[in-house]
Amino acid sequence: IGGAIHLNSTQNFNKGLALRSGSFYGSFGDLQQNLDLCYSKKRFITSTKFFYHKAENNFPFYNITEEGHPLRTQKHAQLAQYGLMQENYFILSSRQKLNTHFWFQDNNRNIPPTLTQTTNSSRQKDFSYRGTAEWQRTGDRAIWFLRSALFNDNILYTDTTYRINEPSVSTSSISEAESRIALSKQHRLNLIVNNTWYKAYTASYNMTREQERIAVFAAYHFNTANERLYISANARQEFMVNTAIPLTWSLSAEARALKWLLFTANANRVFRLPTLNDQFWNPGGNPDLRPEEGYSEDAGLKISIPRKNVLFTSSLNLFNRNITNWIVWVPGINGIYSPQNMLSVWSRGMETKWELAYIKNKLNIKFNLNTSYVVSTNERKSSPGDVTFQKQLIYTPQYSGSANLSVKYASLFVNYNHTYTGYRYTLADNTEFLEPFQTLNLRFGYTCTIRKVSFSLIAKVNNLLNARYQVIQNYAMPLRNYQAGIIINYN
Amino acid sequence: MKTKIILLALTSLLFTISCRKDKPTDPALTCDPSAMNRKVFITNEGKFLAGNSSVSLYDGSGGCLVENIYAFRNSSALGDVCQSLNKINGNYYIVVNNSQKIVVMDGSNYIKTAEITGFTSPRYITPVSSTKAYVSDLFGNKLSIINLGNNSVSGTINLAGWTEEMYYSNGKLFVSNSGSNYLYVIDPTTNAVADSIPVGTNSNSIREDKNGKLWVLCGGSSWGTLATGALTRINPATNSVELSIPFASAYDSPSKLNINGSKDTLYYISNGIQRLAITDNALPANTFIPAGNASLYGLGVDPVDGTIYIGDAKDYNQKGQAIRYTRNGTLIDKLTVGIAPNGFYFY
Repeated sequence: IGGAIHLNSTQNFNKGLALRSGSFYGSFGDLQQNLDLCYSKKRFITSTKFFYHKAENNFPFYNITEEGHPLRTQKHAQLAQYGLMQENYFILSSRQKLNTHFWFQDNNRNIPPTLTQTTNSSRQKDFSYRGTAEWQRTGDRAIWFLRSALFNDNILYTDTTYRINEPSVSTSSISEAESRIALSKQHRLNLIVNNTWYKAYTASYNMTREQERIAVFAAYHFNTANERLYISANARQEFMVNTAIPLTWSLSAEARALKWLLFTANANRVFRLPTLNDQFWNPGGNPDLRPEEGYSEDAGLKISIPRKNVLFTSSLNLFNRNITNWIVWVPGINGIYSPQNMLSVWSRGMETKWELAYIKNKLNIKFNLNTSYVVSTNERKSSPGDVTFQKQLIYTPQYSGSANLSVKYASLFVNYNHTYTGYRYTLADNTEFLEPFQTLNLRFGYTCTIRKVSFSLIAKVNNLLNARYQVIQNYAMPLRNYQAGIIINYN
Repeated sequence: MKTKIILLALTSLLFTISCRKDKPTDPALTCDPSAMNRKVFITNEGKFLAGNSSVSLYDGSGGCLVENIYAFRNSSALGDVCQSLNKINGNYYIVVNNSQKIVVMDGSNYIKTAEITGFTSPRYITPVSSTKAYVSDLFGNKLSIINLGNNSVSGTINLAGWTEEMYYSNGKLFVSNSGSNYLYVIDPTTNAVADSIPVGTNSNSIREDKNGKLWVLCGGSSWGTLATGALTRINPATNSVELSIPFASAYDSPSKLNINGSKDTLYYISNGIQRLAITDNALPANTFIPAGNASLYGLGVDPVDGTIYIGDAKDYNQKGQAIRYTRNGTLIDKLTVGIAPNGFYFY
């Protein structure tokens, strides 16, 4: 359960020096500056990216909890963050590659009061250092990878009124070996061994806590000679001292029924380990928690119809997921909260994507539409009269969607973006909710190029309709706001 | 080509079907508060930071409940974490802890008439006269002095620690302190701390019995440095401790001391609802009302007929219930109130 976000940069070798600078200024004292420097020769690339973002965030909003919904100004919501990313790619030989990445980020935020508080004095500072390295060797039939990573994350949460000063530190070290083996044109094998060691400390743990896991993963891929059918099966087993972890597996298939029609199907066994907080928080942590586990299935189809100047694509996906032993923090005998494997969640629904693209000469138009229908309910009664049984989980909208229209003509572009988020319940018995809302965002741009240098002028209007909405109950969101900037590209 | 059209039509159809309505239904209004004989106010804390606290009103003689009496008459939200309520000079003073304010609600029509601000995190309000009251505070290390004439804060008294319930007796204000082993005595004429009485660790609630003695319940501490709680009786005329009964375990965490109408029987929450007579010298051996599946968060005893009201907060993420029992411990019924009901007030 959960997943990973893969950050990839595209690699361009032998380009010499390239620079990119972006400067933006927006409403509520929002200032952003990015700088990317890249130098590449035939066998290596080195790239350094830097960003800085500062915002006052003193936006006006209508306080709907006060009589007459007066216009107020957001207080104590300032933000200052900066970061650095340094990447290097080396081609060691015709068969070997090496790349290294280093990130650093520092965020400082003041946390604003809710709509029903007069002040708030809490702040949070996060800073992280992360480094990874990957070596790759391409053989005749297989590609081998060796990867390693080291992360150090720090959170400092303070509140002078509530007298809280809580630093939390965690360090992880990950090592992984992978091989992708082509047994033949139709059969491929993928093997991975991974070791993750994790150490964390926060005052409420009473002592430093560690967790070490070893995982082995094997995947088999098959495709028919005409490539109209792809099937893959994989299994992953994690090992951790004193914890029984279920085997997770996944089966998927993709079948091209017609030139324009593709069918997909997946079935997975999933799990999620309890976090260190769940196990060791004092008071209340429960070291005997079992992992959340379950099964997930989905099926769908993709349509792709190209015509002269036009491409229409559409996909539809139906999913179904049942998770048991879902961990929830509930009050115990003396009112002290403690996590228990309490809930059973059944999540099912449908997602669709539609895209229509038209390109002719200097004109490029693209229209996207995404919809989502999700019913996610609690399927276990914690007591005979439990009214939360079969009610929608909180903050999970049943209906949501977005539409995007972008038009490019020569040096100009316009982008229109529209989102819809439906009712969201804020209580487990579904007796309180947040109203649905829509946001409209517009972006305009003009690019001109002189020899190797290009200048882009960008202007944005966010929340064009001045919608008064909430994403988290009782926290204000900004009304209509603006941003303008310039991006300069060299090479 | 035909297949394409059929398939497109099918997918469009699937897209337009709505299998489940997502819009919630509005709750119905239940009864007329002006017709109530005996009023039972229930303070509901709401979900922390969500600003959805409320006050419910129940007719103690009838069976009629208004789930949210404040919202019934006022368009503004009550605020975040409604901690307690007190009727002073005919009006209801509602202490809203995490909105840093006290809302004054009119005694006859329930409309907000005033708001007192300037607190850090107020907990309870106790009057010492028709013109003066004190407000205890969770993080402020102080008591606030209220001018009831113009409903404003006129001053503060430095008092370190988390001050909770207070009691006015014998011309003195007794202040419980969840953060020390003492009960503090304030002289309202000088606004100074006059004395401190060792009652036990983390005192939280105070009640007066028929003999004019004060009973103080101390919760102890169940995490960090462990300490057991205590039930202590003091003589408010002499500021002396007459009896102190310690609890057996630091995890007993007793709270919400209450007394019946004839002021001879005490009740409190600790592993269920416990009950003992003011003449007892030891804690009860048997639990009066076991907790069962309930998350015991509030307790009240109707002074007229002895009906026991228990606040069940469930998982703090849904509406709670007020569970009513007869004075003998027989279940009467369960009323759906607001989120995390923590107190009952009988007028």
